[in-house]
Amino acid sequence: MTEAPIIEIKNVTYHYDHFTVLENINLQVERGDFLAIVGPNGSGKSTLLKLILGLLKKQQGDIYLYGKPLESFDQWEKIGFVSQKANSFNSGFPATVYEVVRSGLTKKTGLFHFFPKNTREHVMEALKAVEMESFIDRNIGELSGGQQQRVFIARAIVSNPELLILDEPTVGVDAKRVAQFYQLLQRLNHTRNMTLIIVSHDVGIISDKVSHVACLNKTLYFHGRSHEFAALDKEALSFFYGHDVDVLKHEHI
Amino acid sequence: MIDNLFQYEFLQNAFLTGIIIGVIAPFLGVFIVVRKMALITDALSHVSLSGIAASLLLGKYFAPFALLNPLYGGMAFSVIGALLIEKLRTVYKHYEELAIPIMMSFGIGLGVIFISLADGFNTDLFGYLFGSVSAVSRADLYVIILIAVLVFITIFLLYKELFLLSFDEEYAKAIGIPGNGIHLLFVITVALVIAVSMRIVGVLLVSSLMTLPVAASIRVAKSFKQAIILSVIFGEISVIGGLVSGFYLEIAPGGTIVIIAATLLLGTVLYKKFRYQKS
Ligand SMILES: Nc1ncnc2c1ncn2[C@@H]1O[C@H](COP(=O)(O)OP(=O)(O)O)[C@@H](O)[C@H]1O
Ligand SMILES: [Mg+2]
Repeated sequence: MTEAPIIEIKNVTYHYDHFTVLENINLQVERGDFLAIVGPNGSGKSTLLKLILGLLKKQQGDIYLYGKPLESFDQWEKIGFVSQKANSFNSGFPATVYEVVRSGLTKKTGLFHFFPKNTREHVMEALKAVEMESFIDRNIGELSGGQQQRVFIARAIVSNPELLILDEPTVGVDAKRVAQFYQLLQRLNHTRNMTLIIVSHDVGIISDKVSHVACLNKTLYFHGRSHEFAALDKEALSFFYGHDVDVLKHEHI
Repeated sequence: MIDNLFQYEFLQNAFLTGIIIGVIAPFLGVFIVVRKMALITDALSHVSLSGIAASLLLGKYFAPFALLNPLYGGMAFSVIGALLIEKLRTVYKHYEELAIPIMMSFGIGLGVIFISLADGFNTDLFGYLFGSVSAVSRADLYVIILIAVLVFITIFLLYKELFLLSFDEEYAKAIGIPGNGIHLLFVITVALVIAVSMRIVGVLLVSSLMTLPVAASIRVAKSFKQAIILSVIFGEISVIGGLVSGFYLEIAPGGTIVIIAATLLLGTVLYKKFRYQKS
């Protein structure tokens, strides 16, 4: 028996009030995939992720996680998430990096249970993966945007999820860091066989970092291996974006 | 004072109550402040007052109700008020903050009506408005201890979920934390603590006990745990200091408690500034 896809999206359509944001989306993600979802602003990328995570209620179509319908899926500890808004938190919030990363274990630890004794070691390990271990006792608000972003990734991976979903994690991170950041994700993908989905604006550089690309703009324009995406001619892409891709690339770096 | 404390039961009641609410009000207050819900405390305290006024009014006209502790009326109204606020927040999805002034004015309006209808308990009411060192009965104390224990256990058991919901609600929901249920439970504990704190600090000042110590602590705390510990320490200093000075100066303790809390807040602001300039 072959393993069920990690995510299976079938004929999903979504409207905000009467405004259609996603139309008839079909998408599969297999274990070990590193999928980048690209598309212009407002193309429905975050909406799609929120539907997968159950943050928005499904309207039409079906979503399966690990072969189970979303409504009855209950193994959320398998999934890590870094939100687009992650570092728009209240920067005056009194919390240390340790406390923030540890909170990623909340679900795994379980309701009415306390964090186990070796929690600090797990947190340390996650922080090492993002090269932030020396910041463990620092106040989260005192860190730079890029450092905070890495802390939120540590929070997402501390529970050792099998699937990691990231919504535009590199916005506001400088170009040099972006490259390092993709290396980190590739490492997680290779060494832990973690399945990754990333919403990204870095159209120019992703194709040699990820295994698959999906182009979304209300409908799914393209979904395939990244080398196929790289081979797409520019004309097709600029049609998809409505303007020249290179311009878009520069806008977001 | 120490002699009096052994001698007079009412002083014992006031001090034990003070020590208890000095812990739980600022403890809950930390979650309230970081979630930017500070205004809900004001709304609920006014709703509690109308509950107390309603009990007193009922007691005046129907003898059996006179035996019922008005604290129960305050607690019931406060909890119902909290639930209504939550309901209103979902009704006015895009104007969530409207729920607070709606409930607050509703609470005051209702209170005014009840108080006017029963113009016989004005002196008693002064204690409810500004707190009192002599108003806490043994029965009150027992209710307060029970509520405090329940609230403490709830918050202790849900600490990690509440932290996550406060820091990043979307993430909490994304990883499958039952955010709405926990939030509701939290709001109910807040409502109960406000109702029981009112005897000591008074309606008009109860919110300050949940916010001023926290406002001071988050100036200096590095971690969430530190923020909680410091808030409780500041809260205790304010309540005990306020009760002692209120007793000797014959001032309603609500006033002295708040002034001490505000002084501590000023102290932390200055401390931070001084430290900053030195380094
Ligand atoms: N809560 C909402 N209510 C109404 N419209 C929304 C809401 N969230 C997003 N939208 C709209 O839906 C569209 C897709 O949004 P989103 O999924 O966030 O796009 P992306 O992440 O690709 O930038 C946008 O036009 C946005 O304005
Ligand atoms: Mg988005």
